[in-house]
Amino acid sequence: MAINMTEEKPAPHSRSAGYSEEACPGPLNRYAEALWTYAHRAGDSGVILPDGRCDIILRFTRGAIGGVDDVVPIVAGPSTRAHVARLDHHLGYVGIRLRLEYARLYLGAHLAGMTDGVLEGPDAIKIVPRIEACLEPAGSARALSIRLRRVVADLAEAGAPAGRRVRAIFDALHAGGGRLSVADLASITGVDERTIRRDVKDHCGLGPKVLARVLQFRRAVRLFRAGGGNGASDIALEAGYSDQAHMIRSFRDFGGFTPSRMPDVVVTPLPVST
Amino acid sequence: MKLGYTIVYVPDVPEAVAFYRAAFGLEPKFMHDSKLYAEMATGGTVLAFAAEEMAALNDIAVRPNRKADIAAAYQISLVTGEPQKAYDKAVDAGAAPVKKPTEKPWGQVSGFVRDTNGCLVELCSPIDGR
Repeated sequence: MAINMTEEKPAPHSRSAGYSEEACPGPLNRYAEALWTYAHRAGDSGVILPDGRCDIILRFTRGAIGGVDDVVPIVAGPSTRAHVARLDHHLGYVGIRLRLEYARLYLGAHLAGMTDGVLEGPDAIKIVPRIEACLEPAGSARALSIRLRRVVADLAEAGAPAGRRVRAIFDALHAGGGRLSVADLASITGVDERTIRRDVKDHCGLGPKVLARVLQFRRAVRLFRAGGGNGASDIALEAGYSDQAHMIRSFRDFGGFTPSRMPDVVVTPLPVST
Repeated sequence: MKLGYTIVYVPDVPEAVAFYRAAFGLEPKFMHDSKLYAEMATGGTVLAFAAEEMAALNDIAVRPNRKADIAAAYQISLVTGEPQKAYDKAVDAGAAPVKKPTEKPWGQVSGFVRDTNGCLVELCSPIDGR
């Protein structure tokens, strides 16, 4: 077999202690990509890179015997900027990362004004009222994660799945690693450019150009991380930047660093308030 | 070095396998449980399908093949003793007709269709002696 399906990829976020994620199981995977947890350890901090996705998050205080208390709901809008995470040692987070095309299903009309926004407590409940059912103390972070999953599943059931056209647009965006222009997407999908702009903005909250730049940046970061001795100019070319200067600008805009000075990043996002 | 696999990234692997079976009579040889990868029984050079998300997981960016788009600059050539019959069967099964089988100056009969993802497939007779 040419593609080794069983080979485990080194987790891109493995350099940040305390962070772990798993793919969203079962039918829920259509709506949400991953369930993640972050439990701070002394001395940890990391840069959290933007990925355009929205997250529904529960922050909690860790009790002495493994229980969790003081649960605070957080809703994070589509991210286009890097955050630096510095967390108190007694805090933990569980989150669910929504698929790009389902941000609107969960954030509704609020999505339009939520870019890089992080709402906590009552403000978060206003946007996702069902999250209020998650706030009781629990025996473990795992229990909170299961509650979050239920919220996302309930909302999925109440809403309509993304239509064929919208899925086709987002599938092409993903496959192209941010390299495809709106004109490319139009000729690939047979959907006109205006509809593509509207569909992308309506569903994920970001315009297709910004979203493509975010996806392109993240792929370039992964190519650097993969190493293998490929030089910056090779990576810039493969990632679809017209030259190294454009790549460096993109790294500054989205990561706040240059390719040669990449920090110990949490590649998978953890959009907590800073 | 030898050519071992031709792998086409597709939006839906089981759909591609079902189509290649119905349209071209190729039998599936292997399907991974995840339904993200499958191989057809095509002899020494394996024709395989991988989900487009596999490309993304491997940090590869591709321009996805789609019916509405112009075909990518490659083709899969399937050799058969009866190109016209194969062509008709493929079109009946949902392949888009591109060019009916015609005889080339060197005696080979060759026609073109596009599969359900827009990939070019040539249906041709063998060239004598090869």
